Amino acid sequence: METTKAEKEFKTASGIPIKPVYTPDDVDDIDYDRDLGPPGNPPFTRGPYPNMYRDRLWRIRQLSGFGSVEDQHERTKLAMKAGGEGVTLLTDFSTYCMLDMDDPKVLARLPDVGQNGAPINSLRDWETLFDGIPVDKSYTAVLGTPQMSPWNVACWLAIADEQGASYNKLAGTGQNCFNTAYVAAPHADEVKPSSALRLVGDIIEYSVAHLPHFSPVCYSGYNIRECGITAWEEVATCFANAIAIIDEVLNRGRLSIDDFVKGISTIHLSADRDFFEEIAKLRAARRMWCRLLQEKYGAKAERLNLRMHVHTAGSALAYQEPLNNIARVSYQVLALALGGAQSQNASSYDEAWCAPSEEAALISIRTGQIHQFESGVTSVADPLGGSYFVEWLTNEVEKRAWDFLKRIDAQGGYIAALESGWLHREFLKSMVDSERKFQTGEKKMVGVNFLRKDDGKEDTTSFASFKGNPKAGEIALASLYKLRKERDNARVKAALEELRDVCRSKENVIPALKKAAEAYCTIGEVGKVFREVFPVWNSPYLL
Amino acid sequence: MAKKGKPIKVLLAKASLDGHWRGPIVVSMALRDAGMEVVYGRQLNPAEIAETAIQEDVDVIGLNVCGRYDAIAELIRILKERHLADKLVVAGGTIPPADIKLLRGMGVAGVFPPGSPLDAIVKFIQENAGQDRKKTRADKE
Repeated sequence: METTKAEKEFKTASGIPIKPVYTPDDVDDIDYDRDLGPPGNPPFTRGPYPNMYRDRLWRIRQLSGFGSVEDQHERTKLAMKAGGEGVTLLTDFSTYCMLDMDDPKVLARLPDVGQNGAPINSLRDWETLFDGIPVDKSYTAVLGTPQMSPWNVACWLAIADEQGASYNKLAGTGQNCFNTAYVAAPHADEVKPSSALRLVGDIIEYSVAHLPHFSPVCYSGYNIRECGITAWEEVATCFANAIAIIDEVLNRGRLSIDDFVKGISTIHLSADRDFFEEIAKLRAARRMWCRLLQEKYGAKAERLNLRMHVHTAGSALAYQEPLNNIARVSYQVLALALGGAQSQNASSYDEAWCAPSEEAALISIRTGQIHQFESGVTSVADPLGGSYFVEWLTNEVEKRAWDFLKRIDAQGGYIAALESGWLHREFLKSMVDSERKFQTGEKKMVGVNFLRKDDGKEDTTSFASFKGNPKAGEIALASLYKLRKERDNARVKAALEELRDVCRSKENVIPALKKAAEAYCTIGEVGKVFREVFPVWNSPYLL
Repeated sequence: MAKKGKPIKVLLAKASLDGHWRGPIVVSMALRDAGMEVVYGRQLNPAEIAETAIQEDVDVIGLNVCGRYDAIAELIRILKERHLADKLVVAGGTIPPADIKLLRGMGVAGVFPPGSPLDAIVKFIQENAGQDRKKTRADKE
């Protein structure tokens, strides 16, 4: 008998086999109170807040990072004027590596500086970045690695002091995801993951005491997902990271889980190409977080409403016929809305060509606003709740995520799985598999490997591809030299010595880092102290 | 075609401080599947790339680029200076269409932006690697 089209196996993008139609039989094991509950109630499958977008629309955040710090300041103001909220900043690779502009590694690549992020080298650059932007009225997320994030917090607090802002009003998310720093985009000579846990633990303890509206950590699955892993690997790896961080704080014996769980309940996930799988993933992640923290730590269920920043998948964007990307991003934004996200970063249509231009970034912001104010999707919480298919798929993604979490546990937990290279090897399999599907045409991209314009003519799409300021490196180098001349170098030396002592002790690093920031120490000087005191690590080469 | 009986050897390098590895690893898998030998250089500056190319005696240098092309220009200058112009230089990454001609003009033989079929990269290297080297030898003989 021939296989009919309907009998042919269909799978989600991550590989879950799916049937042509779903019925009540597929969800008959769901208990409403146990598995779904009303929005704003455990296990929060249907959303973290009761009225969802009626009370609060998702934030529109627009990641940017290019050129000099002055260019970056201009773009941030532009995004805020267009209705983007706050400062979501991507820093230059040199900043990520905690290196100064005159480090030989950076000097050899000075023209690269500012092409993929802005160099932010001292408190002086933070002052430029926040010029005219009240820090207590904007939402701040400066992307960083675990080693860099306590320094970011210290600089941010120093800005608050300069502006006379109260710490009680500072809102933002710390960016210190281990997955990004050690798996997706690892840099050379980073503080070893096990030691970086101490730094992140310090941020959490400091935040509990002083920063009520700051989320000191944000587990990011986005960047590892961009490597081609599955939806459930993305979620499970974030939670494995969370477990390592929670254990670090609990082992200090000063805080109970309920003291700090609110601040550590934020996650950064992708909205990838499979519409329903992504919606199911967001719903499954909230339920799993609630269950995990209740079961493992006995946390109070009502505080376990996981909040999400969802970024549409850059890897889903095409180089060919790039304007089509506007359509891709738009349905991914719809997925994050239907999945109940608190914040969006919509990618820009030109991202396979270059860092987003102003025009492209504005379209991304507008895409979110069109969904918020025109589509009507904000009126009802979890509108897909109860769909046979969506509920079944939510169960399926959650089940697979628990399985992957167990496999990480079997490696000795997240840090062991990371430091041994197990995670890298696991993800390599997914990366290769995802690429194979694309190359064979099993995974279709319109205009790329399917329905490609093969008329022999060149793509006539034309727009100016954006380039970061080519002088950004030179500008940053000059400003570094100027800073070193103008600052009180005795104060710098004393601050760095104090920081070294604090790093060697068990004291919280944030106050010493803040003193170092206020003395205008540079990120390279602080990084040097970290690299001296803590063991450094290089991710495994798998090539 | 490269020397008979000896696999084509490729140095895949990333000149920037960036650590994203999906692109290089996917390309390296395809090259290995096609029987080539691949070495990887992380965070090398142009002089180090040229030095590694000599030490490893590679036929091809594949660069993962993102942003500016100063490092490529510098590498090509060093290759010429050190009489290594026979090395086939190819580049891949987020390279806008308008820059493809520019890179070719600089001496990058093959440019592969996002969405390039891996088969096309493999085929290009198979057809072009070691060409100049053979020609140089023939001239000498």
